[in-house]
Amino acid sequence: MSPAQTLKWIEAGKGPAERNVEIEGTEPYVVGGHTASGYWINDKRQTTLQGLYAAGDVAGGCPQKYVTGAFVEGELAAKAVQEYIFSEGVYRDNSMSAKQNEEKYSEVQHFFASENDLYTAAELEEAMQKTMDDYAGGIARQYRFNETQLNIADKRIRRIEQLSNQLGAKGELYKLLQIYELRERLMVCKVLIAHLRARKETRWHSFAENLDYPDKSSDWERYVNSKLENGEVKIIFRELIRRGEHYEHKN
Amino acid sequence: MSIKIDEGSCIGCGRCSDICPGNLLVVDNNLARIREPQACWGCTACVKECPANAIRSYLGADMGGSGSLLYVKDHEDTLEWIIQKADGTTESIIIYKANSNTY
Repeated sequence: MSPAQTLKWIEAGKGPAERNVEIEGTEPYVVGGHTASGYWINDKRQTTLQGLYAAGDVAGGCPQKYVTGAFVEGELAAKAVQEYIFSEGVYRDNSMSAKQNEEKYSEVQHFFASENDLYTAAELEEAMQKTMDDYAGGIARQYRFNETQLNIADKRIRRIEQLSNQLGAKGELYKLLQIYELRERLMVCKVLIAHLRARKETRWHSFAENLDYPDKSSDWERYVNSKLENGEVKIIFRELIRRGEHYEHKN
Repeated sequence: MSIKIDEGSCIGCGRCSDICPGNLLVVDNNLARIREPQACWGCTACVKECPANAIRSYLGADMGGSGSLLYVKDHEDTLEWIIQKADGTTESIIIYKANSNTY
C-alpha cells in the first residue's frame, strides 16, 4: 500500500475495515505493469536487444505481477546480467555508423540550443494525454475505443510529434530531458495505438474494450508484438508460451 | 502528493536530489527545492534519505488531504513513521526493517 493511501486513512481516522474505499480505474494508461504488455523477453529476462534486460513493469508477457513478481524478475535479470558480463564482457553497441552518430549528436545539439518557445514540452504532453484519453480508449471514454477513433489518435500523435521537432531547451539540460521524455512517450503512444488496433477482439475486459470487436475470441490466444522498422511500428504475432514451456528468442 | 522542505532545517547536502527517482529535487544556494511539485508521486524516498529530517510528505487538497504531514525517524532496527495531524496530534507506525520486505 502506498504511503499516500495510509496517510489518507489515518487523516480520516477511519481505515478500510470501517469505511468503504472509493475506487476508480486508472491503470490502462500508457503503462504495462498490470497487463501483459511490455518489452518482449526470454526466460532470462533479456530483451530482443543484446545486452539489454527488463524486469517488472517494463517486462511483458506476464500480467499482474505486482511488486513481489517484479522483485523475482529483478533477481532473475540481475543474475543473467552477471552471467552475460562474465562470459561475453560488457556489451558495446557499435551498430551505429559514424554518420549516424554525427546525426544523433547534431539532433541533440539542435534541441539543446534552440530558443524556440512557441510550445513547451509540457503543453505538447498535455495535448498527447488528451488525445490518448479521448481517442485511444482513455479514462474520458471509460477505456472504450474503436478503429475510427484509433486512426484519429494516430494522426494527432503524429502531428504532436511533428510539433515536438520545434521544441527548444534554451541551453537547459532539464528542459532537454523533458523534450526527450515527451518524444519517447509519443513513441510509446504510437506503439500502444498500433497494438490496440491489431488485436481484433476484447481480451482484457474493463482494461480496454474494443467496441468493433467486443467479445473475447480463442483465435486471439497469442501475443500481439511489434518491432520498430525504419521508424514505423510493424506488428508481429507470437504464439503463447504455455505453463511449463520455455522460451528463447527466435525472431 | 508532494513534499514540504523546511528551509530552516535543510543543510543542502543534496542526498534527496540523488535519491529522487523522478529527478525532481534540486539544490540551489545550499537549499533543496522541488522543481515540479505536481510531478511527485509520493514515494517518500527523500523523506527517508534526509539526514536533517527536513522533508515532510503530504497529500494535496485535490487528493482529499487535510493538512497532515508524514515523516520518519530511524531507530536502527525500526523505522518510525510519524503522522503529524493538522490539529497538532501525532500517530506513529513502527516498521521492523528486517521484516519490511517479507510477504
